[in-house]
Amino acid sequence: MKKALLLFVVLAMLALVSTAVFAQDEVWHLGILVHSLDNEFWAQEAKGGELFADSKDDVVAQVLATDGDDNKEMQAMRDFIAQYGDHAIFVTDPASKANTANVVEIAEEAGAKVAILWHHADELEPADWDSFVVHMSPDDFVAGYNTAKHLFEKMDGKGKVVALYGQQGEDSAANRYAGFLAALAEYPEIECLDMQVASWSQDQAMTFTQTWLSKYDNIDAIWAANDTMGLGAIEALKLEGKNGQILVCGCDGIAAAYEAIEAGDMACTVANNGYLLMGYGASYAYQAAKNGVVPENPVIKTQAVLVTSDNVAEYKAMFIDGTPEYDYDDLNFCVLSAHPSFAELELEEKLGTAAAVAVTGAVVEAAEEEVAWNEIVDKINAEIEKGIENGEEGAAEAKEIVDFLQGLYNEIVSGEAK
Amino acid sequence: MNLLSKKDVKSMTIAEQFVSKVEQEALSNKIRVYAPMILLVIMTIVFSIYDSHFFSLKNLVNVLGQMAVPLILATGLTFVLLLGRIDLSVEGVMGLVGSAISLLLLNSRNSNDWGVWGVILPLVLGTLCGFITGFLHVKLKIASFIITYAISTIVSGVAVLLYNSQPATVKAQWVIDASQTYFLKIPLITWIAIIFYIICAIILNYTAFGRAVYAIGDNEAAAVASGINVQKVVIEVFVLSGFAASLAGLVALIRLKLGQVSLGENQMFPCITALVVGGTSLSGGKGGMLQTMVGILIYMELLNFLTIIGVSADYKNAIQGVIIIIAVALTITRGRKVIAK
Amino acid sequence: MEKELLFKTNNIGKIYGSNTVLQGINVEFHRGEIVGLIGENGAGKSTLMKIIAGVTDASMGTMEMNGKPFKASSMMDANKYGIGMVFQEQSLISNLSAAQNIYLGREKDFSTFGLVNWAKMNAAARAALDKLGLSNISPAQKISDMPFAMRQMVEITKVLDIVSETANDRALILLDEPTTVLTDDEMKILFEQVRLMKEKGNCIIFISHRLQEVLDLTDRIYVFKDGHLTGEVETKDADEYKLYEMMVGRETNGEYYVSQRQTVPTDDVVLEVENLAMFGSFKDVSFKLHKGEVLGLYGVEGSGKEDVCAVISGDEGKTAGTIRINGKEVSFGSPSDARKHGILSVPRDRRDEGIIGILPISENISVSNYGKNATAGLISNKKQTENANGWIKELGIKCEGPMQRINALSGGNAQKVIFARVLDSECPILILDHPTRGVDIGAKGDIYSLIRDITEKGFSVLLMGDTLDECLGLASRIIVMKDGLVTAEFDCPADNKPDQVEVVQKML
Repeated sequence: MKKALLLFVVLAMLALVSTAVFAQDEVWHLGILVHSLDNEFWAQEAKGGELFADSKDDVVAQVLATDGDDNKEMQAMRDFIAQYGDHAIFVTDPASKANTANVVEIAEEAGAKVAILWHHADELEPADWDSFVVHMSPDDFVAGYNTAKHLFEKMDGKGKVVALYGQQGEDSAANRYAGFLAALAEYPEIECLDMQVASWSQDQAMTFTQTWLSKYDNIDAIWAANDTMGLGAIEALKLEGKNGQILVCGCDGIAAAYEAIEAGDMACTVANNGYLLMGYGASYAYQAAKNGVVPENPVIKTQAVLVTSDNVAEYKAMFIDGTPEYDYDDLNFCVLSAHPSFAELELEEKLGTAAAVAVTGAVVEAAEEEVAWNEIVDKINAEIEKGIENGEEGAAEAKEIVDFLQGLYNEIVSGEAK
Repeated sequence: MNLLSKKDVKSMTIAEQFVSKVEQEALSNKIRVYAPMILLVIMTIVFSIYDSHFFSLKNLVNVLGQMAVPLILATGLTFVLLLGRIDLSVEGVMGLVGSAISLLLLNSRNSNDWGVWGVILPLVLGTLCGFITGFLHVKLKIASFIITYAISTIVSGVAVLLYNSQPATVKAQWVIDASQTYFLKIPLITWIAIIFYIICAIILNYTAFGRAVYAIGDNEAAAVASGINVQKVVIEVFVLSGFAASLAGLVALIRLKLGQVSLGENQMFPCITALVVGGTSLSGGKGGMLQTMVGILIYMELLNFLTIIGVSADYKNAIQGVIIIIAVALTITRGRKVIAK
Repeated sequence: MEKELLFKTNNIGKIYGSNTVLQGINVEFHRGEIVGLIGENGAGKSTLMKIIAGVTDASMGTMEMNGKPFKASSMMDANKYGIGMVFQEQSLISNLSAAQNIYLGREKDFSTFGLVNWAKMNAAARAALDKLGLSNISPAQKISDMPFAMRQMVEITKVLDIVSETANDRALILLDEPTTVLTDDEMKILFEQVRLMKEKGNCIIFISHRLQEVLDLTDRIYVFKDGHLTGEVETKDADEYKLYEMMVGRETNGEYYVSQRQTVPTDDVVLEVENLAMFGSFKDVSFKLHKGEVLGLYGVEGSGKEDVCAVISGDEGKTAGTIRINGKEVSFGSPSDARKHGILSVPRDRRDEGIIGILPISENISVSNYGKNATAGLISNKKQTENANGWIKELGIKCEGPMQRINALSGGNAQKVIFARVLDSECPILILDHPTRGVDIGAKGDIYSLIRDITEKGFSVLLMGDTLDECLGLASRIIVMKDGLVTAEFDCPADNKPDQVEVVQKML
């Protein structure tokens, strides 16, 4: 008797819960397509999608793991669409670059909106499709470039570096490494002794590092394309007591990497911020489906922060110990250039914090209001040219700053960071 | 063997021919056993001459340190392969045990500090996985590669749930100390692997269980006829393999400190490659602990050497693939009309 | 002196499906006796041995050991009663030593705390081997390092040791063709040992094709034919010729084999082999196969006839000699090569090699010649079905239709489907490997008629018959093989078949 009563209560509760969700006329079903949850970053992404859904009364989210398998991803979408029709919306960290074409076609057929993160097939542009709302990604090239540059600066622009490459055949791995090479080209006194493919693996990275340490005795820094490999390198260094002496960087921003930065074992990483990426991706898809809002520029570079010993505490508190709170209705917030970024941090070094904030603010304002920025810059440049010719003090530095601001402005206007 | 010269063949009776055929088979068996050992010696000499860094004490110690996990896994897999079975669950079990230990010892995620139980319980758990695998394989008669694959995905999933996608870093001081402890310049984890290897070598060579493993792998019908409880032995082998995977999980955790599923990733196929290179047959019955050690050493030396001389990754993968094909082709028994499936 | 009865069977029989392979067998074995079992391959003697040794169950009848009912569910079980069998195909573990093989599954006797004391085991094995006078075998030597004959001796040692452990001098030991691979000296040692065991009161059953050995060794001989016990003779009253006669038994009349339709071969030679050899199996094999002829190839199993056919059908490689088809020298590396040259083999083991069980009859018929029912490489199902319907009618295959799975057919009908495939393939040279094995009597007659049809159409057949009777009845010429060599050739015209005893003499 007791059991029957208990069962009744449970059923009643279930009914209540489901009416609460389904009572509304329009419920949007968000399919969160990620590789799997066994990787911290992917889990962060999925969490971001869920955070967004939690912030809306009319969104129900479901995580669909694809295991990086094209067919699984397509099947998951079809199943989801079969269930929810055009009230299905998707945000995906796609199984592969090529498969995004299939993803878009499936969505288009069903009239479901989809936001795609990280990579998309060549010539597959959001502008050409109704359902392909937006493509968003942090810039891997910039991430690789910035981590490398941070190492090189700490090396005072000279010494020996080795590199740990990600997975062969993956875009992010290739772009991050391209960023590393671009930075390397700027430092003629830095030599890259060797590069090895460690396939994002901690174990392999540790093994390679051990072998390097027995072969070379003059390594100054190890550039790793992600945090896991960086942590592997650090374990190898620890065995020789060289952690903290040989610089190591990572990328992605996982918890263990923040701890390593706090401990002084890791120099820097980039917080790719999966919460923001997938949360805002979902938001774009939702807004397009519900309100027909389409971003003017549907190819978005999201903000990614270089995390060093200076700001690690702040980001760890935000991303690891807690979850970041975002206003998902402010769709522009996630865009790289509309938010203080590492570019601004660099400006701080040159001008000091207050001035940097002021100048950046002015530039952002100018960009948004589309004043005749080029004319202003041309005039300033002409003045500076004169100053240089006359040998005036500080003229060269002024030119550097103006060039920098020009870059920042271009970033904001084009939304492109490269 | 000049038995095969043309003149001799003609004058031989069929019975004599048959005898010489069997002798030849025995000889080629011998070659198959000793070839990997000779290869190992030649490799070591050639590599040392080619690059002086290779034979440096420091590098050899490195290779020994890197050997710990593969050696433990390969030791457990030796039994499985000798049976003619395969165990694809070792990676998952490694990940599960490593993750569980990281969460039960002093760590960055929670306030647990279970001390020695934090190690023992996960090891028991992993061994239990082996038991379940073996039990299902034997009782439901599911092919080993399928059931072990299924178990692998299940335990990986459980592991991810355990740490809720955010792997813990082990903070327990003894783990940190253990990773930096050396006896006779050889890392502690390698000693663990070597001790495990020796115990398993004794089990394989000096117990009825070990003989039964060979018997089942070579001729299951004959093993049954000899009164061997085949089901029990098969389950025991999977239990042993499960324990080996668990121990490998512990050792990998000591090495890397971060308790996540990827502790086990890409560990199994290199091990199976090494076993086959050493002369263990995938079809069962052939191989042994000595072959396992030789195979692991060949594999580790080769990887290390390729890194030392800076061979690019593309070639490295290709070289590994070629080695697997050659090794399998050499160890496989020929004369079957049907291509192996 | 009346010997004490050790073991007897009452009406033992064995049926596989619809096929009776052993019927109404009543044999008695006494203590201190060596009994020979002879008969053609497939006569049922091996089946009887397997039933006694617990390898398979009897379908009917009972057995008694030491006066009590006996029924063994496994070899282990039989061992406990004191019955052990040495197999023709060896069941040793090649990677273990002699001692480890002898005591496999019995290591407990040598273990302390789970660790086996190899020295102790080797010493025990030494004693067991010495008992058989096998001082040349080292207990620690691996089986894979031993010559074949030595392996055989280890196997015998193993069985003797197991059985003598439980049944002290009341053991029944079955030796299934143990001498095939032994040298003369080794054979002498074996015989001495067998006699020694007999004197101690054990009973040994000895199966062999070598009649001289049987006469030398045994006290009494049972003769088997077609699943029946056809004769029993005291060895002292027998000689080789008498045994031949007993084995051959009654002859079937020509009608059974449709002899009136036996073709007279033409002079066209379609296949010629010259000095063909396969290392370790046969050599100097030469013969000619004419158009429209059934050429029988006969010998005991292991005489090399199977390998001759395997080489001609492309399944195995030859090591010497030439094969000519229509006068042109050919060589092929696979059965598919051979088929292209017009040779097709119908395998003996239908379940494993002949049929593709899950496919329908129509597919099974056209699998050797898909091209016939295809246009531009695409198979027409309609054509294929029509084709199959044609064959089903022509050969009288009992089935529900061309789409029925071949697995569902009886042995005889499945064999007919395979014949349909053979005829469909239009290969002029056919190798028939025991085409009537496992087929019931009625279907046998159909298959004989079919073979006549085939040859009348101009096909040539190389036949390995199930029995000598069958081989002689069907063939117009037979070639007899023994120990890898051709020992005789007989013409078999329809009205004047050679004497079976003569043939058997050349074969054994």
